[in-house]
Amino acid sequence: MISVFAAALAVAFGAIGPALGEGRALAAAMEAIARQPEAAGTISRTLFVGLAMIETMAIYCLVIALLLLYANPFTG
Amino acid sequence: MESPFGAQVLFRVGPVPISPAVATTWGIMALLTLVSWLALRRATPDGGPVQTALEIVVETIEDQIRAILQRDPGRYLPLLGTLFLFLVTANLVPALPGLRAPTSRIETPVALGLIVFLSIHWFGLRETGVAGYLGHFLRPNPLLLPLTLLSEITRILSLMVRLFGNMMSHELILAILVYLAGFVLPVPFMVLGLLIGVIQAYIFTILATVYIGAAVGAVDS
Amino acid sequence: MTIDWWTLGLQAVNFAILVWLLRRFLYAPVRRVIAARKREVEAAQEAAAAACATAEEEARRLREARAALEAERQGVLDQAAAEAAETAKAALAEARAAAAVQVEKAQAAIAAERQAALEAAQGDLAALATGLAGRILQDTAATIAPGLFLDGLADTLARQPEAERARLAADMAAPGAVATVVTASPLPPEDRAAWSARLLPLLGGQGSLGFEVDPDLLGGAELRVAHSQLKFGWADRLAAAKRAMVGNERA
Repeated sequence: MISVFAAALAVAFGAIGPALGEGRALAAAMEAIARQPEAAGTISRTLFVGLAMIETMAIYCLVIALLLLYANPFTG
Repeated sequence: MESPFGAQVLFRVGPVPISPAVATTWGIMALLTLVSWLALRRATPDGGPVQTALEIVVETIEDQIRAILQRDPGRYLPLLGTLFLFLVTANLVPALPGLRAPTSRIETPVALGLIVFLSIHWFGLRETGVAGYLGHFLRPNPLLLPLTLLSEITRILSLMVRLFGNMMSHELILAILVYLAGFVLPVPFMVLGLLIGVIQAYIFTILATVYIGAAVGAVDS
Repeated sequence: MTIDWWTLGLQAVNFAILVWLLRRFLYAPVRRVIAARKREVEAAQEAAAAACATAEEEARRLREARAALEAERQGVLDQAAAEAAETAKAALAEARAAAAVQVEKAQAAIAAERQAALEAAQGDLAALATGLAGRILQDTAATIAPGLFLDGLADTLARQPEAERARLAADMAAPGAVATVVTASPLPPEDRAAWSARLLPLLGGQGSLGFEVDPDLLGGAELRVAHSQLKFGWADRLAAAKRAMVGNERA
């Protein structure tokens, strides 16, 4: 039961940072595209890669949550 | 609600248990191959609409690869193009009733991640040679070697878990919505799921391309 | 948590097979088609470039032809202009010459007219003068004895060249030859003897001397021997004077 709370906490707080970061990255990319529409392709590709990098943090949290839920080493 | 982990067995071929994911993958393979074969069986410079559509798809993938790798995409196209096409198809499979995306089970993303992992080093070795490729790990600073090696593993790990997590969690959410709200409310979420599936396929392919590009020296990742 | 290793391995193998299948059935044909299309496009481009070059060549040829035509036209125009200028010049010269001739003719006519007028005036003047003189002489001749002219006639005869004198003498030597003396008024008989005595020796001393009267002489005397005339009359003098006046003026 505790592991469920822990998993929820991990995902919840782990999502905050990447969410903020992705928001900033997306805003910057929007601005860049607005400034230079002809570079939209390169910018959006770089944006996706960057978002993936940022997302990695949230994914680690997800992994931990999943481990806690389905493969908790302490509860067997 | 069943666990996304654990073995499911649809049927057995001899001692080998065949899971639904494998069966779906075979279907996807058959579909892709059949479509390609039918459309391009008699390919001419001025072909029909299906052929043209396939050409556009292939050329778009080629252009993306070329833009990232900055070299002829011919050697990388089969792996990366197949990766994208397979993932798009696999992620769109849930639109058909009764089928589940193979990528929402952990095994398929892991298998793809392993293949990408091996491909990165294979292309890196082939392109820059043994010494050059091993030196590439020491490049910023030899002291960072453990971190570099760790990032080699974690980025593949995050690659596979990102795909798996997105697909699985969406499936989970759909299941919860169906459980809570019945049969109409999940429809927009299913549409969103299709969008997420395409985006994840794109991100997976692009990241694999970027990693390969870093290995062959085209991109500094 | 269990991982289905069979599924994992099968999926990896499946993906590898799919890569091979798509490479065989998708990428290779697409690449072939694209290459073929590129070749076609290149061929079309080459053909277009060739056609373009041909058209270019044609255009150049046409431009040259046009330039030639232009040059020809210019040449014809120049020639025509030159001809026109030549003609105009010739016409001008002709007109000028004609005008000059006209002017000259007019000048000549004027000069001739003036000359004629002058001559007429002179002639009139001379006629008037001689007429006047003739009338005066006629009035006075009657009062003058013809014998006075004997000396003049004799002098004239004596001044004749030797050949003339010889010819006269030969004429007189002919049998029956008569030297006729013409006077304005009849000579008295005594004078006739003196004239014969004086003139005959000068004429060779043979033949005889005849006498005639001609009032037109006005005065003076003439000696007619055969075909020769020795004039010493006033009328002759007046005529000579008139001729001299007119001729003098003319000279």
